[in-house]
Amino acid sequence: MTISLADWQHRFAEALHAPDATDPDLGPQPGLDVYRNNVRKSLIEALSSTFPHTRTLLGERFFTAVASDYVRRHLPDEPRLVHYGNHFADMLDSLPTLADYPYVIDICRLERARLDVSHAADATPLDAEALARSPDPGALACSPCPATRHLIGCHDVLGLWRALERGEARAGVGAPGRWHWLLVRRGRNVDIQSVTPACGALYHALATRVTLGDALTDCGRRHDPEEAGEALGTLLGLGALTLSRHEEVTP
Amino acid sequence: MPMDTTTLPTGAQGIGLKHRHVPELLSRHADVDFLELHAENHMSAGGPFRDDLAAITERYPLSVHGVGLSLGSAEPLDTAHLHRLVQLVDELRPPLVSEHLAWSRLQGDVYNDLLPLPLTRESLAVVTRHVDATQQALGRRLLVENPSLYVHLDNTLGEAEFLAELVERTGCGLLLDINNAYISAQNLGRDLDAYLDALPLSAVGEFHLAGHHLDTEAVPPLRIDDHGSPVCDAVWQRYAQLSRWLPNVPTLIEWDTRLPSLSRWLEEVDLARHHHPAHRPLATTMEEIS
Repeated sequence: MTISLADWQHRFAEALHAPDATDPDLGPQPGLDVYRNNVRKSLIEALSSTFPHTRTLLGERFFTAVASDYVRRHLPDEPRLVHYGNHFADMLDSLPTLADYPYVIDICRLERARLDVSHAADATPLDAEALARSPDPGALACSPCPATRHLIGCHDVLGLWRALERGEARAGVGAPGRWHWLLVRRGRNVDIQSVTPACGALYHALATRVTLGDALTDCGRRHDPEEAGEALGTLLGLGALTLSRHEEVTP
Repeated sequence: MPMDTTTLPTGAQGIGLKHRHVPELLSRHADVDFLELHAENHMSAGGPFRDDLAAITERYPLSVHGVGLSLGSAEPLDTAHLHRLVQLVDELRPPLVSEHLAWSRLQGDVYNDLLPLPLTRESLAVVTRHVDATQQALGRRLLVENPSLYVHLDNTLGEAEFLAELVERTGCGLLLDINNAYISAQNLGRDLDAYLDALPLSAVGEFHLAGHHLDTEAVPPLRIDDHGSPVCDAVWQRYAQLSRWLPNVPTLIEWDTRLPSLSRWLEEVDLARHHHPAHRPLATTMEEIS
């Protein structure tokens, strides 16, 4: 072989991307199609596994066509396939044919977030009573648990989501708007709750690793101090917060 | 007394670990000696999948089979991925750890398949370097699996010769996938007997068996390694022969697509035992030898 292994692998990869091209070194071998099909099919299956509800809403044929296009544009950047498909919702969002179905993109984003939450690290949720016992709760550094996500959607799709979870393909889509959802892992399941905008703001303030007091002040400035307090109650009630920086609360 | 899940019995027989079968595997003790997991499917930071794996680990010995390290890539190993593999192996302490003579990563893109590499002195140097680094990071011996091939490449070394040199240079072991060897021989017109004769069989640390299908639409027809059907007769025959030579080597029956019920998969394990000398009457074995 006259070319380096690195060059050869570039040419092989190019041959995988271009089914009609014939590499002079590889020749017109039908076996190349096996590798092309393996790559394409396995990645479409990975997307199908991550986005089952999106597939239900789009239908098998359309989903496969879109997934196939996604695979062409975005190969995984690491071998753990549960992390594949981070830009899939963005791609759906860019399709003119889906402009009248924005709720599909919401469902797609929820599915991506659910899988991330399912595989995220464990953490001990901060207990509201323990927080109350702290001599200076405002100075505590707490943050969202790794197994949580906050999402903003453009339709109230939680009814549709629950119907899809029950295996029902048909359900009404709620009102358009700016909807805030919090995903929290509980045991084997990931719960999705509708939360207030203040709750979303507090979640993100805490994610920047400020103290609880600073996060509440920030949230209270953006919304209302009373709403910020309620948001803290919601996040604690959902078990969405954990102590960071090895903070300890006196038992 | 807690079960020892860090060693395997002689001539152990195992199947793959699939999420779908976890409840059944935990509710009863399936008649297998070990379960093999694909490393990349079990690298979660936490959550129920990790909990399931911890529960499985208490009941069954595990084998960790990597599919994403890309030992054959000309570029350096993905150290983040190697670190994840080390963490998993340290946590599970499996009796077997294996990877592939293949590549899948190029400049940040992962092709999610076991792509072939031309077997040359340069490739041997690359794979040797990567196996050395992996074994050093793991602190243990790695088994390297022979590929199933669909294309003719511009090789300057035979595959058996390549693997023999790799074993000699790195001290790694071999995972002999008999189905892969059969597929490559059929697809590329290789002499399977000569291939097996040239392999350093004493380095074989595990057998793989799996099903494949014949794509008759390809010209010429190709045998495709899809792990989606029972093991074929020709592969069983080779297994009977090889397991007679290497009776202590563990055997894993793979099944990754069109996944069967656990019971159906275990029937395949019974068949493997039927073909293995440890489970056959001596008279039958002697008759085969003569």
